[in-house]
Amino acid sequence: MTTARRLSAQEVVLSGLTRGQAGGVVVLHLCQRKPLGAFGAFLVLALIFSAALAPVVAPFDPLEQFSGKAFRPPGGEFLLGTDYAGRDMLSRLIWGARISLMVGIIAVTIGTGFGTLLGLVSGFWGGRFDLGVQRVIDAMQAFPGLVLNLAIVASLGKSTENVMIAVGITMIAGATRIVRSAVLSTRENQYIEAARAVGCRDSRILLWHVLPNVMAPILIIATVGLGSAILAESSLSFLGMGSQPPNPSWGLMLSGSGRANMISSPWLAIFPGLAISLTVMGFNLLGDALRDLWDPRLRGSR
Amino acid sequence: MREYIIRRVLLMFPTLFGVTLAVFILMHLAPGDVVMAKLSEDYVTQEHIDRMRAELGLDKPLYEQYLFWVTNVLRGDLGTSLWSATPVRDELARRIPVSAELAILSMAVSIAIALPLGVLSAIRQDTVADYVGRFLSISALSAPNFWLGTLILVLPAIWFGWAPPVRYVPLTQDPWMNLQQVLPAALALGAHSSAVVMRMSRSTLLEVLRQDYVRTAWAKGLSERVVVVRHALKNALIPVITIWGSQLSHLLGGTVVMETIFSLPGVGLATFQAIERRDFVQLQGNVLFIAGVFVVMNLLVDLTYSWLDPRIRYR
Amino acid sequence: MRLLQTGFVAGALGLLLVMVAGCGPAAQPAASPEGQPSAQAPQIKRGGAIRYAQNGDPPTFDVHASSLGILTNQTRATHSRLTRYDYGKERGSLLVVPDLAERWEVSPDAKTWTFYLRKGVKFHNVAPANGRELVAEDIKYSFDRIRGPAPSIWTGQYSFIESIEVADKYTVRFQLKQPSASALYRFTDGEAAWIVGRDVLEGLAANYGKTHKSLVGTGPFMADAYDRGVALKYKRNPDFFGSGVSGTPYVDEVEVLIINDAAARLAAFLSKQIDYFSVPLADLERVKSSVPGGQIIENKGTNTLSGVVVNVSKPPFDNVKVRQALKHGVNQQRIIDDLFKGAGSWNGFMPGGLSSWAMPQEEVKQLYRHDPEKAKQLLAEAGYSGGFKGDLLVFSQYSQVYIDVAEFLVADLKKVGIDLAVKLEPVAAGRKAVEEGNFALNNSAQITGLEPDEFVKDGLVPGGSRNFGRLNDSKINDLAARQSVLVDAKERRKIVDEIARQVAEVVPFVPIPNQWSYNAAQPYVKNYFPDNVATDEPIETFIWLDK
Repeated sequence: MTTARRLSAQEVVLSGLTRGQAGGVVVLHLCQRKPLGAFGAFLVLALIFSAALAPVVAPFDPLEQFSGKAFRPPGGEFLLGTDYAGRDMLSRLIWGARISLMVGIIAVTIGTGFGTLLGLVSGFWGGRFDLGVQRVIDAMQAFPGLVLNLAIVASLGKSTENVMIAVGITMIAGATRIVRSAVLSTRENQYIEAARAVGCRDSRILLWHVLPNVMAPILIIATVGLGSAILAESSLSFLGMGSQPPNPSWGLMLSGSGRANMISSPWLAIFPGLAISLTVMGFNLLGDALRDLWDPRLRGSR
Repeated sequence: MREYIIRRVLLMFPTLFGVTLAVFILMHLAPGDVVMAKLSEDYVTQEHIDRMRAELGLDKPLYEQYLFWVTNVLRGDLGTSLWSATPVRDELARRIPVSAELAILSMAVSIAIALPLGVLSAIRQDTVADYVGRFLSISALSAPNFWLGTLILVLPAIWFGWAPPVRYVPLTQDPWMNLQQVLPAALALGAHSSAVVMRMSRSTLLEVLRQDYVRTAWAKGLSERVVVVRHALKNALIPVITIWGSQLSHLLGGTVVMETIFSLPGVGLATFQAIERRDFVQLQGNVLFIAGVFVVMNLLVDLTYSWLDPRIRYR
Repeated sequence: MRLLQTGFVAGALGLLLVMVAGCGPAAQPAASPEGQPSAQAPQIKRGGAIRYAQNGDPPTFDVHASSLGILTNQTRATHSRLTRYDYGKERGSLLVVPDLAERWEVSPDAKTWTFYLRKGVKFHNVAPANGRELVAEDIKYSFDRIRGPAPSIWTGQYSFIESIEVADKYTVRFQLKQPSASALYRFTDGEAAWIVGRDVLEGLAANYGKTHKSLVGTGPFMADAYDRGVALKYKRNPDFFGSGVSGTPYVDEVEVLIINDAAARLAAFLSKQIDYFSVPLADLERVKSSVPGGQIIENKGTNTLSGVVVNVSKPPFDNVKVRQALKHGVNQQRIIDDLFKGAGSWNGFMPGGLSSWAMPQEEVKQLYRHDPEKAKQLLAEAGYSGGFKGDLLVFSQYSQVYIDVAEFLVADLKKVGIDLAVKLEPVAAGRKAVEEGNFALNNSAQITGLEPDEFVKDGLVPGGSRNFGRLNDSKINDLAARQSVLVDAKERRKIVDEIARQVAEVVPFVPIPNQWSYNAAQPYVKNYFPDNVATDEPIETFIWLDK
C-alpha cells in the first residue's frame, strides 16, 4: 500500500516534469528565447560543476595555510591571490561553491518541502486546519526574515547547518502561501471533480491531480529561493551569526576579514563578493526564465 | 467591508501574541544571558552575578517572566530594557522615526529606479534596452546588501575624503544633514528591492499592454506616451503595490544591516543588539512593533488593492 | 571593553614598574610634573570640540560597576582619582603623580598610607553636588564603596585595605591588612579608583548609574547631552582644579560618538569627523596616504595577554603533557609574519607592554618554541598518539583578529593531531560557558592590569575570579601569595619570573602573539599621546586643537 503510494508520487513528479518540457527542449528553448535565462543556467551549471568537482579542479587544499605567503595579490602561483592566512583564494572559492550550494539546497528543501506540504493540505481540505495554518503563517511572515533568522540561529547555535535550518524555516511561510493559492485554483477544476465522481480517495487526488499542477510554482520558488538563501547566509555572516571559520563560506570570506582588509588587499573581498553575486544572479535569471516558460500566471511575482 | 476590517484587526492579536511568545522562547533557548553581556570582561563573584540576575527578575520562573511582560503590555507598558535600564517605549519612540525614514526613503529609491526601468523594459521587450535594464536590476538584487552599503560608505571617504555624517541628526532638526546620512543607506537598501519591483512592473505592464483596451487606444492613434502612462501604467500599478507591501518585510530586515553600517540609531540595529545581548524585553518590544507595522501594512495594501480595483471585494 | 574597540591593544614600550610602596614619589610639585605640556603653554589655543568614537552605549553609568572602556571613556572625563599617571611624550614610565591628592606618605612598615588632599577642589556645579568642595570624607566613602559588595565589581581587588579613616578635612588614612605590592597601582587604577560624592549617589537614589546625569565628579568635563546610540557629550568644567596643569582642559567640548562598525570608523576619520582613532593594521597605509600630516603612533607593547585559556579540568586537557603539546604546536612567529605582516611580538606570561615584568623575548621564544615533533611526542606520551577532536571557543564581538588567529591555531594544531573546530559565540553566551567551566579552549584576552598582582591572583589561583581554566598548582599558589606582599621590586621580579616559568611548564593558557597597535590623529590635534597600557587616563584634559 505505502509502496504503491510512494511509487505513484515519483511518477507524478516525473510526469509533472515531462508535462512541463523535456530536459533537452528546455535548454534549446532557453538559449533561443531567453538569452538571460541561458546565461543564468550557465552560471548555475558552473556553480554545480565547481561544487561537484571541487576536489579535482581546486589547485590547492582550501584550508592549507602556506607559511610566508599571506596576502599575495592575484597572479603568479596563486591565480586569485591568497588570504590573510596564506590560503589559496581560488581553491577556497571553488570549495565555497559547495557550502553555498548546500546552504541553498537544504534551506530550499526545508522551506519548499514544508511549504508544499502545508500548502497542499490546508489548501485542499481547508476548514479549521487551514485557518490555524494561516495564523501561524501570518505570525511567521510578520517577522522580517533576517530577524527571524538571527533569533533562530542565536537559539540553535552558530553553524552552517543551523543557518540552513533557520533560512529554510523562514522560507516556509512564503512557499505555503504560494502553493496554497495554486491548490485553491486547481481544486475548482473539472477534472478534479471528475476524479471525485469516479470515487478517487482524497490522498490520490492530491498526489495524482493537484500536485502535478502546482509543481511549476514550486520549482520556480525553489530556484529563486536558492539565490535568496545564499544571500541570507552572507547577511548572517556579516552580523557574525553565520558559518564558522575556517569554513570557506563565501559569506564568511566577504564579511569577516575580507571586509576588514578590503582596502589594503581588495581581492580578499572582491572575489567572494563576485562569487555570491554571480550565483544569486544565476538563480534569479534562471528562475525568471522558467517562470516565463512554464507558468505565465506567476510571471514577475516572487 | 467594515466587518472584514474588524475581523482582520481582531486576528492581529493572536498573531502578535504568537510572535512575542516565539521570540521569548527562542531567546531562552539561546545560551547565555544579558548579565554576562553586561559584565563582558569584568570578573566578579557568583554572588555578584546572582544579585544582578535577581535585580533584573531573571531568577523568576520563565512563565512568570513572560506573563509579567504580557500583563504589562496589555496595560500599555512595554517594560524596561535589561541592558540600558530605560523604558522600551522611550527607546522605540526615539528609534522608530529613524527606521521609518530609512524604510520610506528606500522604497522611494526603489520605485524611482524600478518604475522607469520597468516601463522601458516592457515597451522595448526583448531589445538591448530590455536586457540591459533587467541585467542591471538583477545585479542589484544579487549583490549582498552589506557589501553595497560598505562600498557606498567607504569609497567616497577614500576618493574624496567625504563620508556620510556619522553623528545622527533627526530630520526635524537639520533636514539636509539628515538626508546626507540616511540617503546613502536608503540607496544601498532600495537598490536591492528595486529589482523586485522593476521585474514586477515590467511583467504586469507586458500583460496589460496586450489587453484589448490598450489595443484600442493604439488604434485610436494615441501617442505611445499617452497609451503607456495614461492607460497601461495605471492598471499595471495594482500588483506593483502588492509587491511593494511585501517588500516592507525585506526592507525592515535590511535596516538591521544598514543601520549597523551607517551608524543610524534605528529599530533594526537595536533589534540585532538585543538578540546579541539577550535583552529579551527590548527584543519583544521591538518585534511587537515591527510585526504590528507589518500586519497593518498588509491590511492597508489589501484595502488599497480593492480601492484601486473595484472588482475586488472582500467578505 | 578595550578589546572590543581596538582588538589587540598595545601599549607604550619600556614601562618601568608602577612605583613601589615605601618609595613612592615624594609630593611632586603640583604645577608642572615632568613631561607635562605646560612648556608649550604660550602657543596653546583654547576652545573647540574633541570628537572620537566608541562602539557602543555604556551598560551602566555607575563608575564602580564596570571596567569596560565604553564606560571608562566617560568616567575619565567626569571624575578624578587621588593619583594619576604622568601624561606626556616621555611617559611610558607609568610614573604616578598627584591628582586629587597633593602628596602622600607611606609608613615604614608599608601598612599605612596617608593622602593629603588638594584644597579647593570642587564637584561639578550641578545638582545634587552643586559645586561643593571635595573633602576627605568623599575619599573614604568612595573607597568603602569600591571595596564593598556589589554593585562594585572590585571587591576582591581592594580586599587588602583593612580600614579607612578620615584624619581631618583634607587628610585620609588607609590601613592595610598587610603590605601590598600593588597598593599604589590600586589607588591609581583608571578602571576603578574614581572618587564619587555621597550626596550624588543619595540624591539620585535608584536612578544612580542608570542615567548619564550620574556622572557628577570632580573631573575636567561635565556630562552634557546624551543621545543614546548616537553620542555622549561633555562640556568644559569651568571650576576644574587643573590636574596640576593650570588652564586645563583646553577644549570646550568632548563628544564621544557611538559608531559600531569598523569601516564606518575609518570613513569617519578619513572624512575628518573624528579627531583620533585606533587604526586597524589593514588600513594603516590608507590612513597615512589619505591624511597628510596626520599623526600615527605605534604601540608595540600592551597590558593585554592574548591567549587560549585551557580548561585544565576537562580531559584530555587535565593531562599536562597535552597542554604542553598545545604550546609547542602553536607557531607564534607565523602569526606575526603572515597575519600581522611582521607587526607583532611574542607573548609569554606577563605581556610585553609591561616590560618591567615581562620575560625577555628570547626566553619567551625558547619556552614557547614551535616544535611539532615534540608536540606529537608529548601527545603520544599522554596516550593520544592518534590525536583528538575539540572545540575552540571565540567571542564573536571581539576584534576580528581573534577569529583570524583562531584559524591559525586550528591549522597549526591540526598538524600535530589536535583537530579543533572554531565556535564563535557572542559574549553573552561565551562568557556564560566559560564561567560555568563548560568549555575546553577559549581564545580570549586577559587584561593583566598594569602590574602582575591582579592577574596572578585572579587568573592562576583557585578561587580567583577569572581562573576559568580551574588551575590549581601548588607552586604557583605559593609564589602568587609571596609576590603579593613583597614590596621590594627586585625580589618580586624574581618571583614573577619564577611564576612565568612555572606557567610555561603547566600551561594554563597558550599565549598568542601581540599585534602592535596604531593610533591616528588628525594633524591639528596637539598634545595627543595615547597610551594603550593605561588606557583609562583622561587624555582629553591636555589635548588642544590647532584649528
